[in-house]
Amino acid sequence: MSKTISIHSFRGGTGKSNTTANLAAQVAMAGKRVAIVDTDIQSPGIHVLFGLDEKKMGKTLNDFLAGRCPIEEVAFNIGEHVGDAQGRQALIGKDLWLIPSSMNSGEISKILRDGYDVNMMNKGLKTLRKALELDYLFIDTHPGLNEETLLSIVISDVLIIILRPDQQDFQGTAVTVDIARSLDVPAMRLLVNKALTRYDFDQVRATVEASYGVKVSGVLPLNEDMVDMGSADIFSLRYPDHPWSVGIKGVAQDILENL
Amino acid sequence: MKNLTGYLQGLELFEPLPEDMIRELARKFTTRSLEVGDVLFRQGQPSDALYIVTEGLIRIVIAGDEGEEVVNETGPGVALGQMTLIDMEPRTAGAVAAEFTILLVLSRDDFMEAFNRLPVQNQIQLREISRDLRLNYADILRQVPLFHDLPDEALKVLMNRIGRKRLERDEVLFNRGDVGDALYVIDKGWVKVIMHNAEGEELTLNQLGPGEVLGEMSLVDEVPRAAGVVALTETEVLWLTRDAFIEFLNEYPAIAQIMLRMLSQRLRFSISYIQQAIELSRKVAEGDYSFAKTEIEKSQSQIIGRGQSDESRVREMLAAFFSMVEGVQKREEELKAQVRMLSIQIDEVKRQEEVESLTGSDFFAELKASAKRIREQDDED
Repeated sequence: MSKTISIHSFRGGTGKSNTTANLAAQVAMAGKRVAIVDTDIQSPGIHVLFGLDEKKMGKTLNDFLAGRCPIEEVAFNIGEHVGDAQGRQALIGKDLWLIPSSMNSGEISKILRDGYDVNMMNKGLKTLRKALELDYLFIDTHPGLNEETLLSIVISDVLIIILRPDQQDFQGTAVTVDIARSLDVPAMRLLVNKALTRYDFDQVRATVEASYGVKVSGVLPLNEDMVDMGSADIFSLRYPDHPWSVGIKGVAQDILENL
Repeated sequence: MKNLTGYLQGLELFEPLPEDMIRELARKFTTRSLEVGDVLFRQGQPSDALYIVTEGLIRIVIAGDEGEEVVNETGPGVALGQMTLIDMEPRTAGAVAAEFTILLVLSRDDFMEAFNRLPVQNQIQLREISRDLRLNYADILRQVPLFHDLPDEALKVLMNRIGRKRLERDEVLFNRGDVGDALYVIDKGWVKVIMHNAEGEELTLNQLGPGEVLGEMSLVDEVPRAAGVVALTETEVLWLTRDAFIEFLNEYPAIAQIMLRMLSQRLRFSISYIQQAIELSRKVAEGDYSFAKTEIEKSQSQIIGRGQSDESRVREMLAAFFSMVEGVQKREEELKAQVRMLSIQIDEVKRQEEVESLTGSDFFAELKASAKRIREQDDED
C-alpha cells in the first residue's frame, strides 16, 4: 500500500525542496518506487535539483489540472534521465518520478487567479499512485497554510514539517501542528534543518519534541557546502558522508521503518 | 613624663650637655595645658621655648591660600622647637592643639642661661648641631630632584613655605576633580595614580615613588585634578601651595626646566600606556583574550620598581584592563553556552488566534468534513 508524505514548512527558506528531493532520492535508493509532486505551483523549484528546465520538462501538473492531459503523462522518469550531475548518477535505473509544476509565468498566474479543482488534484494523485505502483508519494508544498496546503495535509498519510531553530519558525510550526491534528493527519514528524553546529543536537531534538509532542525525525546542520554546490545536484548522493547527508539518510530510514 | 632627664639625653640638642646640667634643666620645665583650638605658637614668630607633648595632640599648620593648612600632627613624646631655639629663628610652622593637650615647656631664657655657662667649645658644638638640624631638613629637600640645584638661601625660603604630610597606606591624597591647589613631592613611600572607569573599577595609570612630583598639571593649567592619588605604602609627601610655587618659580626659573623634563617623561609614559592599550584592544577585537589570564596574576597593588622599562611598567598597571578583558571573555562564553541550549518560546495566545482564524473558515469546515471520506476512499483503493 502506498503512502503519501507531505513535506511542509510554515515559512520559506527552510530548505524544503532540497530536503524533499534528497529524501525521495534516498528512499528510491532503498529500492522503493517513489514520486515527487511539486504542488508549489506559485514558485516551483524542485525540478532544478533533478536537472530539469522548461525545455526538457514537457507536460506539467498545470496541464493536468487544466484538463489538457492525464497525470501519467506528466510524470518525468528521473531514473531514465539523470543528466550529467555527479550525484544523480546513483539514480540510474531507480524508480523515481517527478511531477513538475510549470515554470511558465502565464500558467502560474492562471492557476493563482482561478485556483484549481481540489478534487481533481486528489483524483490525479490517486491515479498516479496506482499507475506507477508507488510505494511513496512525496508532495512538495508551498510554504504557509493556504488551501492547497491544507488539502495536501488531508490527503497525506504522513506530514513532515521542516523548521529552522528560530523563534518565528517555532511559532508557525505550533500553528501547523495544531491544524494538522485538527485534520486528523495519521502521522506527523518534525525535521529541524539549518541548525548551527554549536547547538547540542540531542538537546535540540529533545526540546523540540517536548514542545510539540511530535517526534523529530532528524536535526540537520546548517549546510554551507550545499549553498556552495548551488541547486545543481542531489547533495546527499554527491556527498554521502557529509553530516547533512547522514542526517537526511536517518530521516529516510525513519520513513522506511516506521511510516 | 617619668624620666625627663633620660628623654632629654636622647634629644640632639641636649647631646653635648653634661648630665648634671640636663638634670638641672629638667627641673626648669613647667607644665602647660591647651584646650582644643588654643594656639601654641604661630608661624613666623621667633622661637622662645622648647615644648614636649606629654598628652593630647598638636597640629602643625602653615599658612595657605584659604587659611591654615595642617601639615603634621604630633602626639606625646615629640619635642617641638629644637631647630630654632638657639638662633631664635622664626617658627617654620604654627602649632594648634587638636585635643586637650599637656606640654612640658622650657623657656629659651632658661635654656640660654645654661647654654651660656657651657665652655665656649661646647657652645660652638651646640650651635653646629642646631644648624645641622635645620640643614638636615634642607638636605631632605635637596634630595628631591625638583629642588636639587637650588642655592642654600632658596632652600631656606622653601623650608618656611613647604608642608609635610603623612599618609597611611590606602589613604587618599587627592581625588580626581579636586581643585588643584598644591604641588606634592614624595619624600618617602609609594603612591598610585588612579582613575575609575564607567563601572567604577579602579584603573592604575602610574605608580610614583620617592623624589617624584605629583599634581604638577593642575598647578600649571588650574584645571581640576585629572586623576586621583592614593598611598600604596606609608608615605610622606612635601607640599607647596600653588601660590607659593608660582612665586618660587618666578624667583628660581631653573625649577621650570626641571618641571618640563618631568612633564615630558610623564608624557612619554602616557604615550606608551596608550600604545599598549590600543595594541591589547586590537587583540580583544580579534577575539584573542589569551594575554589577560597571565597578566591578571600580577597584582595591581604591588609596587613596580623604577628600574623596569616603561613598557613592562605599563603592562603591570593595566590590571583593570585585563580583568575587563576576562569579563568580556566570560560573558562571551556564557552567551555561547546559552545559544547552545536551545529554548523554545511559543506565544500561546497568538497560536490559538491563528489556529482559530484558519479553522473558522467555511473551507476548513468542509475540508475537515470531507477529510474522513477522502481517507476512507483512499483506503478502498
